[in-house]
Amino acid sequence: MKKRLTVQKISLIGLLAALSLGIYALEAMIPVSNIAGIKLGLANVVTLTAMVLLGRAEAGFVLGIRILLATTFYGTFISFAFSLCGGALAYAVMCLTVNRLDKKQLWVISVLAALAHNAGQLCVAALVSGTSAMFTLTPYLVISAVGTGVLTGLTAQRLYFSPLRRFGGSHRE
Amino acid sequence: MKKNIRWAVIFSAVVLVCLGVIFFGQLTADSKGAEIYLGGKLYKTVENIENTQPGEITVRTPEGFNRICWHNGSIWVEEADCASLTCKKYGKATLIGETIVCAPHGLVIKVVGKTDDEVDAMT
Ligand SMILES: [Zn+2]
Repeated sequence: MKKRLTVQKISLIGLLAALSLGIYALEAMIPVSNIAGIKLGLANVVTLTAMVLLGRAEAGFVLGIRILLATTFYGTFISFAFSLCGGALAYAVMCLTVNRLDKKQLWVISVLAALAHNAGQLCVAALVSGTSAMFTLTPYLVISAVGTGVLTGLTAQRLYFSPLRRFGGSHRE
Repeated sequence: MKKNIRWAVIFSAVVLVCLGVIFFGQLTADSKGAEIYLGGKLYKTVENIENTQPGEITVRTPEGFNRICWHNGSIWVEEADCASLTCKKYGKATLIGETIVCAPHGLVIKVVGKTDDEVDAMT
């Protein structure tokens, strides 16, 4: 598969990165979204959309830009570690599952990614605090991951089956 | 469509199991207490947070402080000087297993269930 970086693609990457930063900032303002500093990972919707519209590498770019900018704007080292581990694990799960499941099952990929996102962040919380005390949060986090995963997944699915898809070029079709 | 239903069933089952674990955790305890961890070690155990009398403790670390209060079955960070204030914004932890983390100070507060046997053994 030949990869070409067209102007359209680059602008879509930029647009999605900006969008995910906006969602990330918005999420930071919702007080209820924090369990032990663990974020819901609403910005993952953009990573997933980028992956199906543009491809894995481009989705990685979008994620990288978001984490970098978020850290510059709001960041502490700890929030960087949380974003990085959560985002990277969710990204890895998306990479592994995106071609195995149908595009009508984007919401499933999203739930699996959300589970990975929360697992990653839980591990960061354990490492930072040096205790495993917060692993009792697991059932709460699994429920929260399924809930947000379905929500973000259906959004990504909606975006994928929208005119936005044209801008991604003839990716993998 | 079939695949969607199959996944929906799987995820629903997972959620139900988790709900079961949470409810079972609440039901098997006779009272609620809390554990406060600092720097990876158990720093203090609050035997009962269900008192009608409010209680509090201020934890100081080289990085800063957290004033922790408990009352009527909840525990929360009332005041802290960490940058993000995630711990304070979390609000009240009420359910057993709930945890408040102040990552910059290496502080973890966890609501734990106590059975009467444990309480008897203590007295
Ligand atoms: Zn704090």
